Amino acid sequence: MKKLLTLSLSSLMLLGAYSCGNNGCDETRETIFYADLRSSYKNRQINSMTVWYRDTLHTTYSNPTSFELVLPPDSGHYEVRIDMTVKDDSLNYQVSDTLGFRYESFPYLINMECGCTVFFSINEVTSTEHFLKDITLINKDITNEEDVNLRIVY
Amino acid sequence: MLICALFISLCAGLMAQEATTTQQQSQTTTTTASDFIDPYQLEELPDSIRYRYPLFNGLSVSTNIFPIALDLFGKDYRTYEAMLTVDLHHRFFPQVAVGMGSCDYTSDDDVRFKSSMAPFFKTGVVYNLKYNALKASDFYGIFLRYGCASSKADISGIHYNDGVWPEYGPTELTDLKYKCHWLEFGGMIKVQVFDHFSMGWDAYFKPMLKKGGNKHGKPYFVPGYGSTNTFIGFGFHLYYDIL
Repeated sequence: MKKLLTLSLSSLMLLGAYSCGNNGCDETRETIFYADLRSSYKNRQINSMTVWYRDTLHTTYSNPTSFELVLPPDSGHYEVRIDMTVKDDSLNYQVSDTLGFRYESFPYLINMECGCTVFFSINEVTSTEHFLKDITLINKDITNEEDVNLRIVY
Repeated sequence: MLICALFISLCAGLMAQEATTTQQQSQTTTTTASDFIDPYQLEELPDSIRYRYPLFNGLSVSTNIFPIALDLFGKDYRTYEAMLTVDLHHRFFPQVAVGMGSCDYTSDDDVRFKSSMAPFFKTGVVYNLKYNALKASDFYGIFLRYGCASSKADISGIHYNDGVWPEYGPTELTDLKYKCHWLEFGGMIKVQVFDHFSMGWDAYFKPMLKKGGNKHGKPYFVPGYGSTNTFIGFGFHLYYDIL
């Protein structure tokens, strides 16, 4: 009887400890596309940059060395226009380029506490080359981890 | 495969030790026969006797009622498990378990994870820390188990708002397949309550070897493992000694 009581009590304690566990959400649901900007000339830099989706302002940056994009959650094609003010030695001028992405999106269950998000897989990146010299897709998967996806050299 | 090989080598080792022990016992018998004292009933075993209990010391079946209790307390998953345990020298207890598990859980965010009844398998060994104790009915030990399961699930109510674009969903994913492998290692207590009938609980860590995720994420529930949001497991077992 004593054994039974001890076992029952210890089991109830275990049950209590197990039920009290609350893990919460410790992961972000944001899935962001990261692009790295690198100058090919020592004295060339982008002073300001504006990213447009169609005619809608997406984001504005000052002296950017990188930029971020939030892709539309449905698979397809996404195109942004990037207007840049460039300082090249002592010369200031404005240029524009267009970046295009063809990608697939798929829903992703992070866990039941955090809920769902949408991950992306980039199939193709295209670019006009008015100012941008080279683009390299480093990581085609856009997840909730902060990995650089694209390297742009200007 | 590794676990199977370990188990076979363990059994072979035990058999060899048993032969040696029997030889030693027969020598002891010739020198102490006139005393009429059964050395196996002594509190302290003589050095010549390695094991108090024979190689095959019993066979028991058990079930884990902890998941059933959790189900009663409102958890949205259920697991039914049957385990066969062999007692070797009352020191090593190789185990094999089979069972079924299912889950139907809806989060606060209205995401629903529904996994239909699916099988799981576990095997491992318990090591009794007091294997030569005079009282054999109660013991505490440590154990290592390997588990695997294959299951399917549907996820519905998927939605996502990134704050920039219109909300995605709600949508659903069906027939997602998961194959998982994991380990369980921890401690356990077992006490005899009646003749042939024992109870006990165990507490253990359960690291995933392969979480079995796919491009849509990892499973919330794995049969035999439980919820994947914790690496700690508990069990409350009812044992019946068949032999």
